[in-house]
Amino acid sequence: MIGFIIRRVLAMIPVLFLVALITFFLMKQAKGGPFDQEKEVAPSTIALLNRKFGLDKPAWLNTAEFNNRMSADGPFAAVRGLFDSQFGNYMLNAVQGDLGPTYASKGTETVQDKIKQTFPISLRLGLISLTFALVVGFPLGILGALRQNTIFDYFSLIISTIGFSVPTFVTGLVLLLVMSKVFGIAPIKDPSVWEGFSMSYFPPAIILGLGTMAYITRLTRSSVLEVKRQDYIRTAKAKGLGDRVVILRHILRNSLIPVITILGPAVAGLVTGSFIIESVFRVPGIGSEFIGAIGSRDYSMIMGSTLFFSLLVALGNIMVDLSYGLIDPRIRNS
Amino acid sequence: MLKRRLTRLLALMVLTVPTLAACGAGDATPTTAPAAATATTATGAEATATTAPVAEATATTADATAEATTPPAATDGNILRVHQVAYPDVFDPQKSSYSAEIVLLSQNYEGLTRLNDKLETVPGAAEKWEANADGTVFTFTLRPDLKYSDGSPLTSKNFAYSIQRTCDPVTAGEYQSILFDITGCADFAGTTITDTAKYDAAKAALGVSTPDDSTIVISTVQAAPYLPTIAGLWVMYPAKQELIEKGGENWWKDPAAQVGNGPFQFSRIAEDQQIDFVRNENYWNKAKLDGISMIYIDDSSVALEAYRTGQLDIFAPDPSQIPAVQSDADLGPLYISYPGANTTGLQFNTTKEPFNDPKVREAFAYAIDRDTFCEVIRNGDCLPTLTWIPQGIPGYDATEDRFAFDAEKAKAALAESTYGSAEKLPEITMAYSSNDTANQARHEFLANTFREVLGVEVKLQPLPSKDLTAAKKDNSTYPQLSLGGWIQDYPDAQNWLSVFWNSNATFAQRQGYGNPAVDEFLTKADTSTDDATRLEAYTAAQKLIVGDLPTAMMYNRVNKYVINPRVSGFSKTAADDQFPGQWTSYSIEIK
Repeated sequence: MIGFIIRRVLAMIPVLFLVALITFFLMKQAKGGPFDQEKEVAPSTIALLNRKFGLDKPAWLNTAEFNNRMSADGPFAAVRGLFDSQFGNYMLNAVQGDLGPTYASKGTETVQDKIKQTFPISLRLGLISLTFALVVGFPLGILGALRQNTIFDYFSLIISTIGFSVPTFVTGLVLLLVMSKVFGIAPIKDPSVWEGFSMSYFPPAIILGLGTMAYITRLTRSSVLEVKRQDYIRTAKAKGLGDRVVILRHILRNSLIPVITILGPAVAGLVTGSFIIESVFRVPGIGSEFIGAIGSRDYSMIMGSTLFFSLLVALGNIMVDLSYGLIDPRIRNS
Repeated sequence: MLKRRLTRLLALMVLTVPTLAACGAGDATPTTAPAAATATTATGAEATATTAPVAEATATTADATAEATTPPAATDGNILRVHQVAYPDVFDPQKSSYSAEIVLLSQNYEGLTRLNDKLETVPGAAEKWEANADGTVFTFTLRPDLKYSDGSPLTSKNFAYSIQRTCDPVTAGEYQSILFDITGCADFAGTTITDTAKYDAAKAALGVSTPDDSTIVISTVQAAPYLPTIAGLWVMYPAKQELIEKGGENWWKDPAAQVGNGPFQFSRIAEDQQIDFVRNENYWNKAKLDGISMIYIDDSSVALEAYRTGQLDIFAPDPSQIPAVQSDADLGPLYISYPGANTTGLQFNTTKEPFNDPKVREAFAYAIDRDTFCEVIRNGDCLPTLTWIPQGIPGYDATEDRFAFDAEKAKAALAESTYGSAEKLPEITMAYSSNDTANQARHEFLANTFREVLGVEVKLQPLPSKDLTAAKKDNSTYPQLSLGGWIQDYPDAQNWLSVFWNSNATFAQRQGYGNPAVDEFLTKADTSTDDATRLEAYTAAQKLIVGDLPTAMMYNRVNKYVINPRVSGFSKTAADDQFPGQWTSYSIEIK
C-alpha cells in the first residue's frame, strides 16, 4: 500500500514536467507579451520590465551563456548557464516552491501568494458543492434505477437534465434574483463572509455542483441498472436475502466504482472554482485568477495555475485508485 | 490613462460565446488603447457577455413586480457606495496605469496640483507655482502645515521622492515615460541597475531639488508649459518612502502603508470585493462625505439588482443595459450620460493601398453614418464627433464640420480618386478585436455602410486582442482599416495632439502619418508659455490633422451612470470614467 502510494507520487513528477513543457510551449506560441497594452508603454520601460522579470532571456536554452561560462568557469557552470533561460529558471524556481511574480500586479505579488489567498475560499466552496452533488445525485440515481420507468425515474431524469444542460450563468442569476426579489437577500455581502464557512457559500456551491450532481445521478442510475442484472444479485435474491440487504450490501457497493472514478477529476474541477459563478455571486475565489491570466499573457500565472490544476487532478486520481481498494477487494488483492 | 483590460472579457468569451454569440455585448475593446480602454463602461462589457440576455429579463421582471419604486435609501449613513466593475491589479502610485486603479489613488492622495470641476489645473498640495521665463524651471510652493492623514508632516521631499521613484529603473512603472520631460528622468530610467556608480550618478542628476520643506523645483528638458498638469498625475502622488520600503513589493495592499494626503484615506482593502475609504480629517479642503465604498461587481445584472435593493448609490450600466435602463420608469429619470475623454475613429494605414490616396480616405470618411452607429448599433453608448479632442477638454473645436455623413460626397470623392470607381480598388480588410462579442455587429454595420454607399466590399478580419495590438505596432503590419483612437492621460491639448500626431510619435508613425506643418504648430504650442498662443497653435494643428484624414473621426464614448437622488454636489467632467465627480469627490454630498 505504502509502496503503491510512493510509486504513484513519483509518477506525478514526469507528468507535471510534461504539463509544464507543453503549457510553456503553447504559451510562447501566442502573440503578444504581458506588458503589451492597448495603449502602448514606452519601449524603454518594456525593456526594463522584461529585464526585471528575466523575459529578455532565451525561452528554452541559453546557448550564449553556455559558451560564455564554458570558457570562463568550466563545464559545470556552463550547464547551469545553458538553463539560464525563461523555462529553465521557471522550473528551477518552481521546484523550490516559487511560482514567480504575477505580471498583472507588475510583479508586486507572487503566484503562490495569489493561490494561498484565493484557494481556501474555492476549496470551501468546492467541498460544499461536492457534498451537495453526492448527497443529492447519488440517491436520485439509485431511486431512478430501482424504480425504473416510474414517476421517480422521470423525476430523476428531469432534474439531471436541467442540472446538466442549463448553463450556470443562467441558473446562477435566476437563483440570485429569486433570493433577492422573493426572500429579500441582497446580492452584496460584506467581504468578511468569505473568511470562514458561512451561509453565503451555499447558493454558489449549489449552482457550482449542479452539473456534477446531474452527472453522478445518471452514472449511478446506469451503474445500478447494470449491477442489478448481474448473476450474483440473482443468487443473493435466490438465497432469500431481503431487499434491503441485497440493495445495501450488493448493489450499492458494486455500483459505486464508476462514480468513484469520475470523482477525482470532478473534485479538482470543483475546488478550482468557476469564473462565472464567482462573478455572479462575487466570490473572491481562484477561478477568475486562472481564466484572466491567459488573455493578459500573465506567463507565470498561466504556468502556475496549470501546474496547480494538474497537481490537483493527479492527487484526485491517486485518491480514487486508493478508494477502489477499499470498495472492491478484488482490486485490492490484484 | 489606460482603462480596463480585456482579459476577463476574453475569459467570458471562451466560456460563453457558443451560447451568446448573438447577443451583443457591451463596450468593446476593439483595437488599441482608446477604443479598448473603455472606462467603467467597458467594464460592463465583460459582464455583458454573460448576462446581457438575463439583464433584460431582469429589467422586465422588475417592472412587472412594480413594487420597486425608487431605490430604498441606504442605511449606512454618509458613505457613498460606488459600483466598480473590475478589481484593479495594482494601486501603487508609481506603478499603476489603469483608470480603475487611478480613481482609488486620486481619493487617497493629492499631487502638487489637481483638476477642478472644469478639468482645469488648480492648486493641490502646492498653493502656487511659477515658471522661469523660458518655461523650463518650475518652482512649486506647498501649502503651509500640510499633513498626511496620520498627522505626520508632508514636505517637498515626499514629492521629490515620488518623481525619483517613478524615474527609477528599479520601479519600472508603465507610466514612467510621462515624466521624461523632467531633466534626467529618461537617463535615470535607462541606466542599468547593476551598474551602481552610474545608477547613483543618474539618480543624483535628476532635475528635482527641494531648497526647503515647502519648496520643490523641477526643471525640464525643454519648455513644457503643461508640467503643472503633469504634477497632478498619479505618478507624482507622495506615497511615503519609509512605508513603501518597509512593506516590500506589495506594500500597497495594506491600508496602513497607504497613508495619504488626499480627501479620503484607504480604510479597508478586501480583494476582489470592496475597498473602503474614510474622510481624511487632515485634508486642507475637508470632504463632505464620511467615506466612500468602492464595490466591485463585474456582472452587470447583479449590479443592477444591487442598485435596486439599495446597496449602491451609483451604478454604471453596461451598454447592453442602456435601452432597458432608459425605458425603466424608476431608473430612466436617474440615468445620466455625457461625453467622455476619449475619441475613436476609423484609422487608415496611410501608406498602404488604397488608403495612401487621400480621396479614398475622404470617401470612407463621408460614408459613415455616425448618428446611427452610436444610437442604434452602440445603444447610445457614444456621441458622434467630427474632431479629435472631445467636448469638455481644452482644445475642443466646436466649429469642425468636415466629413459629416454624406453619401453623395462619398461617391464623388471615390470617383475623383486615382482608382475612379469601387471595382478598381484593391482588396480592403478591416481588422477588429474578437474579444468583445459586440464588435462583430459594429463592424458588420460599417462594412454594410461601405457596401451600400460606395459599393465597396470590405473584408472583416476578427483577431484576438493581443494579436491586433501586435499588428498595430508597426506600419508594415498595421491594418488597412480598424477602429481606434485615444484616451486622455491628462486634460491638455498636448496630450491629445503632440503625444499622438507629431510625426515623431509612435502612434502617428504606425499609421504612416506625418505632416511638417502640423509638427511646426505642435512644437510652437508645446513650448510657448502663453496660453492663448498655445491654444491657437493647437487648434490650427488639429484642423490640419482632421483634414489630412489619417483617421476618420467617429465618436466619443460617454460616461453613463444611474445615480441615487440622495447624492448631490458632484461635478460632471469628461474624465469621469469611474464615477461622476471622481476628481472633486470632496464636494459630493449625501442627503
